[in-house]
Amino acid sequence: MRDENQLHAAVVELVAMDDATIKYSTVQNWYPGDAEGRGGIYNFVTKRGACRGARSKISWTQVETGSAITWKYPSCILQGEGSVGEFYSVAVTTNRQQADTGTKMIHIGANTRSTIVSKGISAGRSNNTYRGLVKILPKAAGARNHTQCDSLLIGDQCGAHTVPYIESRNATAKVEHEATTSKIAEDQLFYCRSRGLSQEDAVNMIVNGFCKEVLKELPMEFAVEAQKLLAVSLEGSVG
Amino acid sequence: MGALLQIAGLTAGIDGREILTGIDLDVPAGEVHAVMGPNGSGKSTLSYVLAGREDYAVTGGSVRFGGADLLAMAPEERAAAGLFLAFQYPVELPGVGNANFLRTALNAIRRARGEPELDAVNFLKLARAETKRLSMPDDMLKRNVNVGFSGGEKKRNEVLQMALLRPRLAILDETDSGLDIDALKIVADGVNAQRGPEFAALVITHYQRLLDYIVPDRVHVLIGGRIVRSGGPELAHELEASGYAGLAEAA
Amino acid sequence: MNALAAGSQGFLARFEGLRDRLPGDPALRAAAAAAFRANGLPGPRDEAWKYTSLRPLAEASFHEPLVPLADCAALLARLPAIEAPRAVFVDGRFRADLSAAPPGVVLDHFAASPDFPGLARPQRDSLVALNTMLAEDGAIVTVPAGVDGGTLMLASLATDTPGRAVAFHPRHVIRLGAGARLTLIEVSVGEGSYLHNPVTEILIAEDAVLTHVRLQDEAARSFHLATLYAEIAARGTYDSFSLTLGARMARSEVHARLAGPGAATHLNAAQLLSGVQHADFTTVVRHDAPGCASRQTVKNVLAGRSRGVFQGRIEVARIAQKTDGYQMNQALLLSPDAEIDCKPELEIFADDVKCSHGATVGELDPAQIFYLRSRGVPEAQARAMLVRAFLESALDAVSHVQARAALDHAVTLWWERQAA
Repeated sequence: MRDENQLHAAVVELVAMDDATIKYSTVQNWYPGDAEGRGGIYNFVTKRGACRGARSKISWTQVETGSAITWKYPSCILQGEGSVGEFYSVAVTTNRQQADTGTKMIHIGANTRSTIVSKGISAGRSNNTYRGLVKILPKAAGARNHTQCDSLLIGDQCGAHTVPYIESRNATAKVEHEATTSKIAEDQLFYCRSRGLSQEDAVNMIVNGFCKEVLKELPMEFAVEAQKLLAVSLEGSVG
Repeated sequence: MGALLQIAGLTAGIDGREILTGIDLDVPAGEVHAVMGPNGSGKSTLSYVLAGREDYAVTGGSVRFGGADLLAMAPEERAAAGLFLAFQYPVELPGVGNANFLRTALNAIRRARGEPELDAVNFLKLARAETKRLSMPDDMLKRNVNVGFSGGEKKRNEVLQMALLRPRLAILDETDSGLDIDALKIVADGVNAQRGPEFAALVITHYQRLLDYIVPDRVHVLIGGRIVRSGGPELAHELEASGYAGLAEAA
Repeated sequence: MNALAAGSQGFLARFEGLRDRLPGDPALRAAAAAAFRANGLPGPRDEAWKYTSLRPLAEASFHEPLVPLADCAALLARLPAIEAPRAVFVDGRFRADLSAAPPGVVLDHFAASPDFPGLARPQRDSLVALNTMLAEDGAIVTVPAGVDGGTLMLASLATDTPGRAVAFHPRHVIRLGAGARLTLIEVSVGEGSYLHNPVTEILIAEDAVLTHVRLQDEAARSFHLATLYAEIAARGTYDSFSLTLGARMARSEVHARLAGPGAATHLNAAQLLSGVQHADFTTVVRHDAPGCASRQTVKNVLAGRSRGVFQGRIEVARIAQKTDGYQMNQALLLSPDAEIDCKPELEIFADDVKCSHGATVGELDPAQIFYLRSRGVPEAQARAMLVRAFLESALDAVSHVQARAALDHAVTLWWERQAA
């Protein structure tokens, strides 16, 4: 017998100077292990971004479908005045997978803005966690953050967790956070099926709709791949 | 004493950008004046500067209201002095009941004028009479200020406030935008009901439509931040027919 | 030895001196003391205490309360004018001479009838270990099945002995039988410097309804660290609202477990802080049965250099299908030096659920202030109106008319103090 797990531990660092924009997109589909959770990649990744320059922008987009365990929190340190951080994420877990992912938006400079959109889909016996920090420091006058975290559960053996931290030390900053957890509504499924879609196609369509806000951030050819990947990942998880 | 509102050489802007480039305009008591102009000509800026919004900076000129220096007054002092702005986009005040809001405003103004405050019973009597006159449902007083109001309801709520606060000068900032013809008539009736020797109005609008119902004594054309032409009510019709283009060249 | 460990020593010494005289099961006391000795006061490495440091508590030293029949007329006068019998505690001790029970309600006290219903978890929560180790008195309130107990005020008064900060750790138990009802209005006031560390255990049987309104208006130099556990059986309701105004450091921690189908809880709160106050409202709602509902609206209004903390976790067990969980927390920063930290958490293991939370942080909207001013309302009054409006959606949940009036009055007084 030998250990069937592999470790992927990458580090990515982004630095954006005045008026620069970096868009970093990832579609991750490492081997997730078998249905019983044997084997698979441990995907422990460090990603961080520094918006050093005025009006600089770093935008992280990720679609996470693979790996046995994912821990990944791409961050943006918003130092430059008027700099912008974005985090768009779709994480799908099935079988015994665990995904624990989110972001850190550290607002240091004035008029910095950040947007977080996280969509978690859990199926099988998996666990899917959003964990994120929005921190507004005293000098970040006029800072803005909007966070939307939505979780979708498929089946009654999985878990969906949301752990946001919000810390504000500037009165003129405005932070908004919304999170919802729901399952695919029976009436949505029924509506699709009464128009002739199979159960599986209906779920795919609804899941793709659920993730649309994030998928539209991906480059076109990537987005097509990602959509297919979502369908493949969820194959067989709807009974 | 001169006109109720006297604007002379007014220049103002926001974020360092000059929008009003030299307004001269007098509105005597008892008259209704219309200010017309294309988008971006400075119509809303003029109304905000007159009401005292702090993000607009006055860079020159003067405004006298009833003989006093209007620009030196806080927004609430302007209201107490009898100036009323019907907002183009009235803000929502979640958690603030409309009746409570109206009574607080009315009593603040009465206090400032040295008049006795109204108690809840007398206030409600007065407010109900006005809502009825404006064909507004009674529950509008119970709801939170402008929260969940349709565009038309918001505008009617502005007119209701005007009716209750009885200003000497009402500035109607694009009050016709987003109104259907029935709502427009109700709003116009509300304004016309106020008309008299003690009431003046500045009706700011892009279209001539509203002026069919609130017939102005004078019409001014605002382009590029200043009044380029003034005339009688017929000027509005002329603009409706030929547009602002010809005037813009003249400016 | 660090400050937190040093701070624990005084309490442990007090336990050694007192242990033979404490009411109730000595084994339970000893176990709590062992847990407190092992864990000490919670520190920055405890996730649940990430935003609230007990260093100021550890650096203070506390004495045991004196037992005189202190004259507390001035404090009694500060209690809200609510027509209801009172259970009065002075420096943590029951005062039979000032107390009475509503008809049908059994009012006892812990010193006479010690009671540990077992909801509290001294092994996990250090302040609860501290309380379990040192509790000497508290209210034991029982509403028998089917009885509507009306309204009871539970008043905690802390008297001032200059130079002698006292600590008291009351242990309250509230039991409602099947179908019983009670409105409990809990008020904490005091003078001087002290630690008030109450633990309350609430057991709500099937179809019973407890309405719990809390007004914390402790002295400016005090510590108020309250932990409450509620267990709600099928179709029962625990409906609570907490208004935090006082104490230099306050934490109100609530653990509500929805244990039977159709149970419901509301954990609403408002914290109004100024100066260098620190207040923390931490809740854990556990959905352990299907078809339960939890609702929370929490508001922070922060002036001066104050710091508000809200931590709210909704846990949904696998069995708890058809859960309806909602949480809204909003903070208004009135000053450039105020700080808010929030952590609204969802931990969900059932799929057929509807859970949501929202959080907003910001200042008063300048457009709203301008709108009010343009209608003649002076700026200070406009700000007061908007702060009141901000609190409205939380206060609106309080349906008890006199309690609501008392809360409104307390908010008005708070605002007047800020304006002065």
